[in-house]
Amino acid sequence: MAIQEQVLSYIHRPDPERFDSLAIDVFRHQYVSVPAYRRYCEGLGISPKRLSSAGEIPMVSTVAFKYTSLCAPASEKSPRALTFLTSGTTGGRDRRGRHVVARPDIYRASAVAHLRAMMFPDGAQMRMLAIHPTRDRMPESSLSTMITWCIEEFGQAPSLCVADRLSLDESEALGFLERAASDRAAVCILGTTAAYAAIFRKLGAHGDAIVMPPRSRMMDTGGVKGQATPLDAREVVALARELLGIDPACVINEYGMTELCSQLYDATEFNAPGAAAGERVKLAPPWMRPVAIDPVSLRHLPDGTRGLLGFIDLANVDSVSAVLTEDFGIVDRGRVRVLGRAIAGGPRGCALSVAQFERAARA
Amino acid sequence: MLNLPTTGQVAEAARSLRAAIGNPIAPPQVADILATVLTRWRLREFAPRRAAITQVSRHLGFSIPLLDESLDAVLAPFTRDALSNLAPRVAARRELLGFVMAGNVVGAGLHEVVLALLAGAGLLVKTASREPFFFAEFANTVADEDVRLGGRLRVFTWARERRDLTAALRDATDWLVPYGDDSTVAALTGGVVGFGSRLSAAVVTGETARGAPAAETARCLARDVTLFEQLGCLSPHQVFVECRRPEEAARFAKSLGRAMGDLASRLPPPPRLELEDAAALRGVRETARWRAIADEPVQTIEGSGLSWVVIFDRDASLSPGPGLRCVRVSAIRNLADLGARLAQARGKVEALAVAGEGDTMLKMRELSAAIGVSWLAEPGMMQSPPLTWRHGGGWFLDRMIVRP
Repeated sequence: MAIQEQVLSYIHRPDPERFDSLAIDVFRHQYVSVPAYRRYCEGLGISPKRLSSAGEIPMVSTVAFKYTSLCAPASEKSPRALTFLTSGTTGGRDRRGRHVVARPDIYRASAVAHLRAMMFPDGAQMRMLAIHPTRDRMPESSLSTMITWCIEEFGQAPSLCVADRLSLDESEALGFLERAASDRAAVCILGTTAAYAAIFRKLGAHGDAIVMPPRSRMMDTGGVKGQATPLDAREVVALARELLGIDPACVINEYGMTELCSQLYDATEFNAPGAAAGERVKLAPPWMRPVAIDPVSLRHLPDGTRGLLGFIDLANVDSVSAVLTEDFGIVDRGRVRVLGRAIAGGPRGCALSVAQFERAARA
Repeated sequence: MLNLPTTGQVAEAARSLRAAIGNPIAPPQVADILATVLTRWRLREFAPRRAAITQVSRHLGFSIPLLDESLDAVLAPFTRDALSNLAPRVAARRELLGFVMAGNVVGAGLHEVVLALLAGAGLLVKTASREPFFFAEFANTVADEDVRLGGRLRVFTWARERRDLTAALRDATDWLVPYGDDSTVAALTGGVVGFGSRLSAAVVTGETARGAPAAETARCLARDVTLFEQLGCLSPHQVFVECRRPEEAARFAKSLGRAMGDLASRLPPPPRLELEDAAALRGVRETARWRAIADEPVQTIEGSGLSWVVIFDRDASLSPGPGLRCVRVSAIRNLADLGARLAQARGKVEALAVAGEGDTMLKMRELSAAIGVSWLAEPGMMQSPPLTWRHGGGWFLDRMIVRP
């Protein structure tokens, strides 16, 4: 069976005991088929022959996606391949990362399966409100594609998208929610935390609240990125309850990125009963292994240790599966606490920091 | 060692300092006292110096050999002759200054402290909580040498979050002299003139890069990069190499890499890095590595772990790296090209080291003046500016000196 089919089969029927061997097989496939990854591994002196565990698979920094193609050249030319671009806003860098997904069916299987587990564990179908552009409006956005798949899989008419790449129509969004409330129809809202902030501002300015019907839920993503006045995760939950009447357990933050075909979601009483006490943690699907990485040695850190978050995402089968992010986090028994972005150049002596210089350059 | 005051103690110290200001000491006598003190501080075995360096090493994680060599570089210009020559040129400044020192860089601010003491000012110094040791020890040795001069220098330590104490310092002094990017101080208004954060660079002319002095120049620049773990405003972040072909600059980068490696064995880098610093260094390296894989004109020459790295980045303009022994080397065609590469950092460049001679130096002086460079140094001397260094553009020096 081709490696892609093995991954697809694993997504449909996960078997944790097979993860390591499949991850190594996926690495072997990527080493052979992705020239840039092979060059990187050769530079590190790592070859698939000498690899004895999945923990030794070389992690590729997300910055790599800005500079080179990490897809097999043949797959890249496939008519069904989809190309996604990062937003390019982080840290003021102007170059955008590019992730070519040769097998969108695998990406969709991964995204939908974990959406089902984390956003729709009750098997519900409902009205959908997208406050981020859908794929037809922003085809280069992986989030747009995921939202579109979510609507297709779990949506029930009428569903609505109130955003395009330049604007968000808050009034239309509120009108949709009011109609659903009046129809007593549950709604799933999907979008960035920044878009929620705009909706909450609009609702707050009116001094109104809409009481959404039970089982309504929302998925927010992106955190403080793109927000003039950052709204943290706790504020999102509190405002969703106060202004939309949504049960906090149904306010679920997603952690994903263009470079990964799998996503993580908050564990709450709604999707992980009994497992979500205390501070919120995020859960990856069984075909993705989160790890905290020591930036000095690039080795996996023990559970509970703060490091750079890395993932082995089998759904990235035709690009690179082992991806090192620029986010700090802690992984403990597979549960992830995301601690935020590693800012280049924190407090210095009297030397100009990278962050200061970039701020000055943008001003 | 931590000398955490109350707001009342800050005010009381200010009253005591003002009383001491009213009892002036002639600048030549101050120069003599400071020369004696600083001569002792230049001796590595001087007990207060050992105490300070041991504590700083424990606190910041920097190696003792690195700290010793860094402090040697800072103290080198403070000779008896230099102090004696400066004394007749200072203005009489009977005022109370509040210094807010930066962390990480041992002895940074000493030029201004010495100038202010020569000028007759009183100094209330707030050190960074990351490095509270050097100025506390220094003040003690001044007081031990001369109790009257010691009465004009008080040192306290508190964290930047203690806005009440910083406000008390501002209220008690005539003006504040903050170093670095202290957002707490930036939030204060009135009587605040600071040394903002800046960066430095180096230039190697074509004849030097191609000739016999290249290896020695690389050794000297490696020292400039390494001292203070590259966290000072005088630490170079980029070396521009004038060349006919970029391969010459790449060759110099390799030479600099060898020198960085040699120096790392003599002046060991910190055994542990803060996670944020390590992540920043990792990010720089991974970016360089992947740009090279993408066939961009970039090469990485690096030590083990994250100990040091030289990145040849052929076409890069001047920008800072994360420090901690991370330096870029870029190729320039000529000085006009250099001007263009420095343009974005205009007003942010503290020092330029230049390896070259003759006409080139003359042109470099003009270029340096145009972009606001305060210290044009020889390679290897970047961390040892003279007592008349126009730090931060010279605003402090101009207040303290009557005859240039």
